[in-house]
Amino acid sequence: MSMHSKPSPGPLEQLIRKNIADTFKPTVLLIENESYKHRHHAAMRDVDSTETHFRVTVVSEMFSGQSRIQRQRLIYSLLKAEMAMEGGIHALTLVTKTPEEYDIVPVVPKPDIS
Amino acid sequence: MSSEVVVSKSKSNVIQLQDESELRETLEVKGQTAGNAAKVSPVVVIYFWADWAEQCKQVESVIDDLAKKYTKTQFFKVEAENFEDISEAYEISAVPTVILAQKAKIVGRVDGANISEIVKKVAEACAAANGIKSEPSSAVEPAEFQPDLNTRLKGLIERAPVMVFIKGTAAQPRCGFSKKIVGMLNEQNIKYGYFDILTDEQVRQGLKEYSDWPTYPQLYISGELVGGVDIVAEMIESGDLIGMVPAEAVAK
Repeated sequence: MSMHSKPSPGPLEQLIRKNIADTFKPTVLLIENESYKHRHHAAMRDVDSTETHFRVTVVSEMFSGQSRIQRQRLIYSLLKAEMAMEGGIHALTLVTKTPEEYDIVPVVPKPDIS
Repeated sequence: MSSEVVVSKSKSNVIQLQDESELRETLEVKGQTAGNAAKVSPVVVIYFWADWAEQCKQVESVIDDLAKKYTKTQFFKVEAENFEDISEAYEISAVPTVILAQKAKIVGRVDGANISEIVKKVAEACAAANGIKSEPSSAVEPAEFQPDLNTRLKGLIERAPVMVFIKGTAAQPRCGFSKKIVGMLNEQNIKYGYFDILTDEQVRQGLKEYSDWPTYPQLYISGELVGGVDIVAEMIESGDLIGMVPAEAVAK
């Protein structure tokens, strides 16, 4: 476990936060930068950015009545530009829940991608 | 069951496989002398199909045409579900699939109804043995056989009841998310077909647009997009996934 405090959010992370907050008015919005986990992967070798992989948890009433695919599509289309740009988001792990769903499973299990 | 009138006395070079032994015997046949007098084992074309996979009809007629052209090559049509051992041996997880086999080796493979690729690979492997000069593939492929991209994508999505598009192969995934999704499907005892999007740029980009989904891996059940690794993980946790999987895709 690192002794250093978490680095402050980079520009891309701030953009993600703003976009999602404005659109979904989430009760919970967690953004974890997981780029360090993928730094050494072949696909990331020539990439300098430290903002390539994010795990985003969004809890919003606006997801009510929407299937998982619909919810994720909304987020993907919101972040379309950030994903398409040079040095932009390479991959997103998305957790999308309504407040009711989130309360039932408060601790979201983290996938081990190693 | 085919009931063609057999005009000549010699056995047809394209047959519907009835018994595993036919395939085994053919693969063990000693080669004819090729031009340089060395004995070369013949290449055998094995075409795997299923009656519920629409694109197989198209591929079957291509196989029939190729058999007429390469008369010295043996073509087998194998109904995948009836020959599980053979399908497993060649790692057939979805249909249509064409395998070019030379004794125990696989010298070529085409996943999906990629007509031009099938024609090209058969030509490369069989032209010499049939005394035909290898022609560039564009000269051989009839335009009306090559499905447009959307048709091809639809066919790929429907190749198996549970179909996953990943980076790398199911045995050797080339990305953490792809590895995770394959692991989850295996754990749930689900039978699935896969397509390696790293092998085909056209499919890789085309499928993102076709399904309006920007990332891989992508899981489809009964031709419908279910989602990526996150969604599949959530659905397994909630118990929703297994309800969507058709009975024939659950391993016994």
